[in-house]
Amino acid sequence: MRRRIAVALLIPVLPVLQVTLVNRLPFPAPDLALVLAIGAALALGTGWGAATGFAAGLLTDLVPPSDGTIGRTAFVLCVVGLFCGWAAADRPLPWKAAAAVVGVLCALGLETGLGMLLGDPRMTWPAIEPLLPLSLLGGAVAVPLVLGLAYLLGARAAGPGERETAR
Amino acid sequence: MQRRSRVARVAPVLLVLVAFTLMALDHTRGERSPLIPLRDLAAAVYGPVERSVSAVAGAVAVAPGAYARIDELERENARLAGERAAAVARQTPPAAGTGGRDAVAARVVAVGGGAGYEDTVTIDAGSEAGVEAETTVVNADGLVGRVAQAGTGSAVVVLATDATTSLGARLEDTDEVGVVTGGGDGLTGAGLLRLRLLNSNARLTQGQRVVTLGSAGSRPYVPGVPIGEIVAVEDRKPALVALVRPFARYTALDGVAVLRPGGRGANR
Repeated sequence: MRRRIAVALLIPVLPVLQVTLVNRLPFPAPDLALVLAIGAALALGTGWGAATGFAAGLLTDLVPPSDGTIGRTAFVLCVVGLFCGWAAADRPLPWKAAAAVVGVLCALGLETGLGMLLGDPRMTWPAIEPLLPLSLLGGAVAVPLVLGLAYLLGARAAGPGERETAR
Repeated sequence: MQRRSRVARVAPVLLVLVAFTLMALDHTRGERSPLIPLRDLAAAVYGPVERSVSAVAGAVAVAPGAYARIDELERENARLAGERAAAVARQTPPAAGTGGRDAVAARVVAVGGGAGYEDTVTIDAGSEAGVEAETTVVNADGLVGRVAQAGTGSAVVVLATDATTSLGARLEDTDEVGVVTGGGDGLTGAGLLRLRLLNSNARLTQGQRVVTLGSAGSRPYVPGVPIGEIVAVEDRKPALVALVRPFARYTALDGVAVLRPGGRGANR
């Protein structure tokens, strides 16, 4: 129960910390909402992964200074949370780590693909290309954070995966 | 038990569909999106929070007493820069009388909207202080961007480096006119802007200064604000493209001034 409260409390807090503090760091910053969504998915299962991704993503779309399509990050993080929860359920730690890596890459790819689909000038190839190395670096920083968060939330205790969430 | 597990299995998929619907709705309805009240609500709730977090972080970084002094100086500096830009805009013939009359000083409290793909910042002044959407934002160095949304106590500024930016520009020495676009890497990378001139035979050389041309009615951009300096010229057929290094340092933005439109702004 306690870890679920922890996730619920982090959802409204992390998007603000992202824009006020993390984005101002002089090095590539991990996306905290993404970290939270994947961490929740690994520790608490598919349902929590999708719900956390949806809520944290929607806040990311809404908290100023966001100016893009509302619901895009919500969709991306919801899908990623769903995927990671499904892929990591009842699996050993290396498998969970792999799921986290795939999840981070999925988020990058989905975000870019959707942006291009919606005709967002921020997401054309010339606009994305110079940002890619930084984004990948930020993603690489995110994976250990995800696993740390999942560990803190008690990934080991969430062995029975789906049953745990349904209870 | 069986039913609950089925709910647990279907609910996440439903959430994905809800998110997709929200996104499609907001995208297709654009300016008249039914989700805009949500954004206003988020601005009302999170604007003050961002301001507090930023102030606490600032006070921790320096001594609290020094922070208050820095805050005062940043705002004063920004206000002066705004008044200077407004004065320049008024003297420039094409927009005489319609340029900014006054400037609102503010500080940047949050940076990098969305999932970090947007070159946008939150400033701690909104409609209460006289900030309106589609107005020019400057700092002591030059052009910062334009106000995209004005909440009550905060506003969202789209930086000139954002990939959605496209603004009329003029070469200070030759008066040649062109369009400046952003590259989307103002907060993370070099933040160079691209300038294409309308006259493809015009001279483009390193070191030329670029200033704003001014929009119709000076909204969103007033004329005569320094944008940057040409650092390189590339031959991209059919025209030359100049890379412009902005005067404003977008990775270290702090005090800014929002120019208030004259005339229309007077009735508030």
